[in-house]
Amino acid sequence: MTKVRCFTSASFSYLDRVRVLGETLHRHHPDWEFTFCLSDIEPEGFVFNLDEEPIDALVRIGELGIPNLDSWMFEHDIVELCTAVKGKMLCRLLEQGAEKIVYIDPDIAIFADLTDIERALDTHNVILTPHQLRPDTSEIAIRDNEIGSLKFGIYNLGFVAVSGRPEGRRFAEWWRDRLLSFCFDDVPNGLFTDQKWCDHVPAFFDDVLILRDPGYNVASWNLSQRPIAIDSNGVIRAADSVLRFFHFTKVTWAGEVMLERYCGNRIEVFELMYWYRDQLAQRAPKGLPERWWAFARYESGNPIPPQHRLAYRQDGALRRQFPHPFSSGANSFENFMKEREVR
Amino acid sequence: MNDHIAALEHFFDRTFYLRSYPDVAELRIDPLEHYCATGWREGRNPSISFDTGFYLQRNPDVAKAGINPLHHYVFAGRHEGRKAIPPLRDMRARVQNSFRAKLDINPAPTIPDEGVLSAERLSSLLQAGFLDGPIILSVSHDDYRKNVGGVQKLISVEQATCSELSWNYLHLSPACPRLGLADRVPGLPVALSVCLNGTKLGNATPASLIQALVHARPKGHPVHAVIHHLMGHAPEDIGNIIQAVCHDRIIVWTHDFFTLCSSVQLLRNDTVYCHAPPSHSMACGICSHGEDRPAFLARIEAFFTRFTPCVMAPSEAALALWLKHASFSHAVALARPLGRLLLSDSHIPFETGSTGRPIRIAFLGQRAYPKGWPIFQNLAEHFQNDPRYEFHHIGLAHSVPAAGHIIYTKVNIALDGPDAMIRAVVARNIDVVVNWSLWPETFCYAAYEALAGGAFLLAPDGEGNVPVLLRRSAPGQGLLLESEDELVALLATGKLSNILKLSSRQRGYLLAEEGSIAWLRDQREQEMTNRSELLSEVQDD
Repeated sequence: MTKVRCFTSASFSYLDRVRVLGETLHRHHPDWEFTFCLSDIEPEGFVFNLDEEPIDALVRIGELGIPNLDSWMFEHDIVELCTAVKGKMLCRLLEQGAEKIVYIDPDIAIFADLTDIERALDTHNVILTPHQLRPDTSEIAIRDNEIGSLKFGIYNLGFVAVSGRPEGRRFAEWWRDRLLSFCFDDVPNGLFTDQKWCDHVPAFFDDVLILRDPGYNVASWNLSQRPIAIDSNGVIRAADSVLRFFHFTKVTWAGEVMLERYCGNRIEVFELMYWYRDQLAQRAPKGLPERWWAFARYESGNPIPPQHRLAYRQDGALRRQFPHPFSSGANSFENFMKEREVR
Repeated sequence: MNDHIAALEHFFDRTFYLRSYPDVAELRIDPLEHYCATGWREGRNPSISFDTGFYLQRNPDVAKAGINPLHHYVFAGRHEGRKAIPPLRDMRARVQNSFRAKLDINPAPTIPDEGVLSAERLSSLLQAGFLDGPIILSVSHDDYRKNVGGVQKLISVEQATCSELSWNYLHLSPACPRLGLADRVPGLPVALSVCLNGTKLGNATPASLIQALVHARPKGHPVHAVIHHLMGHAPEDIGNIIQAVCHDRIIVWTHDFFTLCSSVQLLRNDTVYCHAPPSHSMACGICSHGEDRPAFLARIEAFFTRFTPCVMAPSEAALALWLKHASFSHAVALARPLGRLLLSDSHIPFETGSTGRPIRIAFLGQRAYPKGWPIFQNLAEHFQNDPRYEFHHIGLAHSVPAAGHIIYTKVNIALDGPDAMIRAVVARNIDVVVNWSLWPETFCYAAYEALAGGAFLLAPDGEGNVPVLLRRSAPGQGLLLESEDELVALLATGKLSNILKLSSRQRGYLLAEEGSIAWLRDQREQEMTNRSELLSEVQDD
């Protein structure tokens, strides 16, 4: 049987989540190879030892062959960057000869067997999971869910599976190219990172499977139509389908507000959330500074304000003038922006 | 008091506030004024139905404006659909506590502060205390002389029975009680608290205990082991002690479902009845007890395999459930009810309706989640201002807050006597007891006490002993319901009053049974009879 190559993408601040994903994935698919695409660098004193992780392989952002890497990275905030590399990483695995590739967001935990995905890649080139599978009825749910998907994308790109056949590759290359140029959170201009692009996929590519099983990619945005229940044999279901994976988008109390709204007065979804929090607490990386991201600061140590990234992204002249925008000191982009702000 | 404060009166529970915050009670100032002046800023709650911290967290506009959150809720928030307490509050708190407790538990043994006895010292204490008779080696999870509960009550009865028979009752509990099983750590033994015939001798390591027992036990008498509970123990240690001194009968009780899961009531995340699914199930995968369950079950199974004991359950319902889910080696499985309900033949009509007084609805026992306290409290809150009903709690509060309109009668059976609860139900003239256990009760004293006190019992239908008890012993004195909605509807529609008018109460008594000792005594007598019959047959030949 063809080996499935699975990957996720994150910075170190999500290492706890990557670990939970790796462990839960290996529990159900020990044969799948799990790669971590890392858009970060270790802080001083922090050791990341792959041998101690539930991760089979590591690919650092520098290994992806992205041209003008510093400049390109600087254009993106943490979420944009960790999503922008997904297309490149996908193509890299395809170039290595992978025949079946599954991308899964780090904040997902696997609860059951995913063999149906593996099998579906024999006949389909791309598999997508829509945020919602059934229309909502209440106004608040329509606003939260259906209108949310109109803004952020019909399909949730926390999951995508791609075949190594030519049409699968054509999708991967198209997505890679778009993400290299336009992977931004800019909803007013029709962009939402890597996700909104995929609204085009069913029209652009052949044999795309829109996975309509409610057990896949259950999250706060579809809970209204997918009540979680647990039967006496201990099977967890979402809308009567076996729960395959749950997308734990927000794990703070803010995330609980949406669960409260759509839990249907049932405790099970809170059990899932509190279990996940417990898993994260147990797997929190030791010695990693709070909110660490190597690309959050200039070399001087000063945080990079969002408006600096935006100015750099929007102005080709600035990008040409400052090909290494993270640098500090004389003739640096940081100084340039400071002076511009003073003016 | 200004008008604004006065308007909050209806949403403020003075009794609750003063009971919850004794420091305010000491100030001798008006509690509502205290809440409005400083209480809400200190995160205090004005009633069981309003959570100050939650309201401020979920409504940052209110927090930012520095407005009294109760005032905001009463005059604006409730009309805007803002919530006063977190949805599913009690259940969510239980699940979170369950995970927190798991992180907090240190599975390694703890050395007791008062130290342990040497084998020699323990041996001389045992020799001085032993009667010349059989020994019952009894094992449970805590000191039955200090704690209140069904298991402790039975152990006390067993000890008394042994005393009457001049048998020895040697009780072992973990010197440092804990949840789950104790880990075995080399060089760090799990110390046991040793109690002989009701007197604590001290703490001892399993090795010292074995040495002392082998030396000090009265010779020529059998030793029987009665395992009431393995919680807090290393079953391997208990097995070694049994193996060293016990060549006779070994009984393992299933007072709860500890032999199936460390969640003794089979509550997933200590919250929802789980039906004991396989340990590799998805449900166990998200339960705070699930991760360790396979290793836990392996240790329990090894204990059963080592001894093939006699299994005893406090009811047929409990035994059936255990047999359904446990596949451990055992010689025989018996239901041995802890007590028998004796109801009088005379029927007393319910007074309600004819006298115009409200129907008195009570919760009996400890304000504990698995016993259904939150369901009762919700019911009491729902009908707080309904003149048809009056709500009572008879038992122990254990610092669990309650709405002020629930009339509290403190009853502690350990201090007030074994029939104190029944007497209190009669004295308070309780009409209805809501017994909404969230797990399949293996016996449930409260249900027996409610019926013996002449109350009408409302309970959920399903597994466990309570539905069986009601169907078999008092079918006319209770109702089994399908859901909490049905319970609420029963009160809301007034149907409960009609049912009470048609039913009649019987009062009675709960006769305590003698637990394992009577069975062991009977077995011993039977053996002696068989032996003498065999002897006479041999002689006749």
